[in-house]
Amino acid sequence: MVDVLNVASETTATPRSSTLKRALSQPATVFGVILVAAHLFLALFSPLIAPHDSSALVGAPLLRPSWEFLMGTDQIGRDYFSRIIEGGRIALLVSFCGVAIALAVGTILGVLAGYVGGRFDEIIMRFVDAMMSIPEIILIAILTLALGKDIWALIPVVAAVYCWGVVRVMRAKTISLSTLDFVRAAELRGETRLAIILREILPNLTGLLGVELAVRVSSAVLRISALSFLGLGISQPTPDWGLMVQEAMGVVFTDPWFLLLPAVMLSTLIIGVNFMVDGFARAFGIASTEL
Amino acid sequence: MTRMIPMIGRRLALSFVILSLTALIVFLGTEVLPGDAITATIPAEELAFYTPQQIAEMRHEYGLDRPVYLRFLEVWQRLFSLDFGTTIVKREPVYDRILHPMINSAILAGVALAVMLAAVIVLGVLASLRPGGRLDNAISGTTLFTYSMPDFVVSNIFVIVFAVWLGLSPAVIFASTDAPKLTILAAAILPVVALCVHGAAYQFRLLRTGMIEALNSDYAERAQLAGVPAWRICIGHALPSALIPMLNGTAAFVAALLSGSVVVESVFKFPGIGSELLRALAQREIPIIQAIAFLAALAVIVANLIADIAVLALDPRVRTSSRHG
Repeated sequence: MVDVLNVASETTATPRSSTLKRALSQPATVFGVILVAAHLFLALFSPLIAPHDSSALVGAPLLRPSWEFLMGTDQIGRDYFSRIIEGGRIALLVSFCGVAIALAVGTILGVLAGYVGGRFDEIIMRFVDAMMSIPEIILIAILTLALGKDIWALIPVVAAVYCWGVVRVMRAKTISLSTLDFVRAAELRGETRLAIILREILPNLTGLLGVELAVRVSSAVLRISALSFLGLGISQPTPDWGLMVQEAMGVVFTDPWFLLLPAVMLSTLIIGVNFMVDGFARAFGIASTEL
Repeated sequence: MTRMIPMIGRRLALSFVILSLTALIVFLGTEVLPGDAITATIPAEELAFYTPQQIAEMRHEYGLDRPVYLRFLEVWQRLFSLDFGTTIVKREPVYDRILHPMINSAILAGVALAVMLAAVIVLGVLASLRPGGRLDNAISGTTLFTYSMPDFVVSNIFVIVFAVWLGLSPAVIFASTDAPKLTILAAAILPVVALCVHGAAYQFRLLRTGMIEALNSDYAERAQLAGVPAWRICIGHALPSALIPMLNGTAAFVAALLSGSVVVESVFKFPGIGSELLRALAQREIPIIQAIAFLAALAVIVANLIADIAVLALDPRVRTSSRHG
């Protein structure tokens, strides 16, 4: 969903600190930043906070909440609170690594396609069109079938799926940058193409890279949990919100909160990222239509 | 108009190239990477009962012992002639297994698309009447919120609210894949709404940006000075050009709609192509997976082609430039 052409405005003259301040003056942005920070904190430190081992059977099944089990126990007697706070770790880790690879490869291909152009550009872009016309979930399903259901195999899968949208965005930005005066000036000075890409174009892509990272990681987390929900992603006994929603469907009539809690965790993460990115993108003058 | 025909021809040729590449990707993903269709389809524990000779015979029967490029050409030819062969285990025609689920999913996606577009246009016009106003903020905030809700979460919340708390409808409407299409339509109500919650939000954001840009343009100002009422500027002048960014995003959007419907179908047990795909993945029926992936990409590419032509018709500037991004 992030692949609509990104029409960025020219770099603003205002210094960074005041842009940051402007971004953080919006309550919605602050709300997003707080949600994201809380989620990152949990992703990093939840095993230290969790009162129980999240995949061990520690009590009777379906216990009511108590001081020992803050959110009760699940159908087979695992501590639900520990599972809830650890349920985003693996998905976030896999998404982050996969998207980092996608950003690196996608930026290189996109900048080359945009700056070099010609036949190379044409070939890359048709390949991008082809990759992006296969619905993400089908593509991920095919690739997981090929690479196996191992958690670590999901990293190249995420990279292979998310790389192409990055190529498109970076190519568009590179084309709009290369018409600007400072690139023209560097060309007239007789600098090599490589030097222009490294010194003039790449530094101007950092803001966009930040946006891309946040948006694509949240989108990847969403897809991985959807996949786990469908039984194609992360599997037992690893705690994962998508998987937990799936398990909870069996007891939805008697204990709907088993379904609602992981759903709330997942939604707050995505909402946080979107509000945060929307606010920053607006403050930095990057069109946010690609969100 | 005469200049549009070569352009449409060019788009058609490009779509054909893209679709061939898609077939290549599907082929590589399903047949080359994990070994081959035989070892992928038969579970490892059962594979132990086959003698190497039997496996070699099966390989030969499926032509898996031939060079990769020949196999790809065959898969390519099969996919493009829409004859998808037979399943590996039961030997039934793939076509029979996916025909009804495909029609059901087309009904689901089609209704969702229609509802979504209607809702998006109404909301987009309302929000852009006074950008930054209270109504705009309310709609924009709500859509950013619903856009962030995962589709399987939305679907499950619908199940809880409508079936568990309100008791209005059964949680899932059981309909067989070849049920009368009216039954399918009834079963599609909740899935359609669930798909719209997410998808409409995305489309709305694109439309709103386009509307505001169009309303700030010179021609909108001129119309305003000429005394044209605000709502007529909105609908008659701004809306057509604001539809263009939305239409340019069609490929991404239809792909996302199909991704979403795989998930939503699974929650509501809707007898569509998404459920069939999951079954095929569980049984590791490569021919079915290939057919579904190819048809999904075909749907995306055709939708994009139609949107491209619509953009050509809407925007006189595009008709003269030939740059394809």
